[in-house]
Amino acid sequence: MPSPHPIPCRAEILRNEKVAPEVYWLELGLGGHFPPPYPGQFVLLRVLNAWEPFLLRPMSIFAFETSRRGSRMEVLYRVVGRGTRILASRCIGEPLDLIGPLGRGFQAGGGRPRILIGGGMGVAPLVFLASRPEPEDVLILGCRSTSEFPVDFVRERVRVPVRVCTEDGSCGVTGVAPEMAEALAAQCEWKVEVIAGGPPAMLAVVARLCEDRDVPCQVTLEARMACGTGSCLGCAIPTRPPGLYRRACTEGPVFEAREIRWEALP
Amino acid sequence: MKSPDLAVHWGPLRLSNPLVLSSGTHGMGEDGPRLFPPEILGAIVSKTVTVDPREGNPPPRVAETPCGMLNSIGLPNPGIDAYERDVHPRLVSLGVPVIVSIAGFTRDEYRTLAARVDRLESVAGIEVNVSCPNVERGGMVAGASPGETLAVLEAVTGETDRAVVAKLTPNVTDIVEIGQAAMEGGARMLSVINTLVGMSVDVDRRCSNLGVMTGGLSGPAIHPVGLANLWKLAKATGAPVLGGGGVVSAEGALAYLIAGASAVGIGTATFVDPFAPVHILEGIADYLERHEFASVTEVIGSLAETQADLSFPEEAC
Repeated sequence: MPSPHPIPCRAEILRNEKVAPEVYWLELGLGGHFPPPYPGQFVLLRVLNAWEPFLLRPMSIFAFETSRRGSRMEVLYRVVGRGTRILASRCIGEPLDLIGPLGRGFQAGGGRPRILIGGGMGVAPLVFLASRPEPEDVLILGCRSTSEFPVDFVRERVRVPVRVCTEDGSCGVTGVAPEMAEALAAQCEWKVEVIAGGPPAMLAVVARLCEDRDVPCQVTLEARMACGTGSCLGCAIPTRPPGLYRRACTEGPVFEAREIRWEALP
Repeated sequence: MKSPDLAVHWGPLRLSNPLVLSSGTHGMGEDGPRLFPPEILGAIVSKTVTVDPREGNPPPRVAETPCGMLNSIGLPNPGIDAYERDVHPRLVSLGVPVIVSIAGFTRDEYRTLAARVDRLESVAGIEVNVSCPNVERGGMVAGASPGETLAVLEAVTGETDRAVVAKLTPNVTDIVEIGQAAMEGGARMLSVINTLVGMSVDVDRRCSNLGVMTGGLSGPAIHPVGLANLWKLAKATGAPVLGGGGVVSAEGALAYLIAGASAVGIGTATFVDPFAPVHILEGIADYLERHEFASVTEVIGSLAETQADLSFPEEAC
């Protein structure tokens, strides 16, 4: 499936709303010419139209819709540093420059029931994926606590069955997403496919579970990057065999889990 | 009024305009720049190729800094065999003069690479990278010593009659001395500046923001450094010098030309503004029209210079 050719684009901020203490829901109007992205692809946002902060911020696509009036893209982001803090201060009606859609998204599977596993903000691209659900999809949503993640907000936006677990028991089952996924997969005798996004430590556990049971597993990874288009070679993801790297922006951000050298991720 | 002529001469090369896409800012060269039409460029410099394939440094490889970025990419490239077979034909197909950038870890490797590139077709020039800050041997180590720079350039020019450009590092005490050594070694042109060695620390985790501690600084933050190095070098050596470092606008490019650059390098700007080369060329043309120059060559070296007087008045000492 060839990825659409990315374009630089000036979007309009339609919404930039706080949905949890440090989590924001950004909605952008894009006009009609923006190439429709595949789930798992991302965009680079220029948080200010200036040379400072210098680099654009890579963001997963949370939702995308095209209508006669143009396209609308949503991004879910957490304020983690200077760039996202500035982004959170941007107002409705303001222009926001971006480049996209970028990267290689989720690949079509082999027809097995899919377990989507989202750890915290890593759920964002899975919500986009679940907007085109397959019949037996289940989404497992794990986070530390409802006090820092908008569980209900995400759950309401997903059309597939959602199972929630929290580390502090504030919602759903008390526990972590890989444990819940393991139990669910076992019920299906591991005849499933797994697609996961979240912190690298969680993804490494999921990858190991899947590899042990020979279950196909795709993961979406984050990396610090500059250009997003394969030019700077900055977003290196360590892949097997040792010594090899792939670009998160071009060969990824979605990878086969068994390709990744988890121990070498920063 | 006729639109101004943007063509320049950089040593023996005639370029349709002064903008040269720097090495290492367009991937391995397999795709070329993806978001702007490459044919607008004056020339393109390949990703530096080494004798053997290299995977590059462990991540993280990039970190944002005030008005710029650090990189510690570490010269990943497929090696000269794959370059010759796969990359070079694609770069040539872009329809822009191709300058092949080479780096060895010994003089012999530079010699081998020069001989291999000499055999290729459609090579506008060979850039000798003696300035990469992200490898342990060769690279900047060679370019920091006039003697080693001379030896490397002699090794390269002994193998080829093609136009050889030495890309120099600003991480030296006196760049003029290095530039003179490169010209004495047979370089026909010079190029400044490669990135400046820099570092960034994550204070929460108390570690470097790069996987290999230090990296090379680029972006608008280094423009004044590149400009000063270019001016000194062009003035002192009289060599045709490409000036680059931190060019993100037409003004930034014009500053290099006015200070004496024969051509202008652009790279990091394209990471954050993919159409930067388009905007810069339009801006240069606008400037020339506004100031009634018929050709960009009229502004090259047109800098008004004041008499430097660095002596202290006696009573102040």
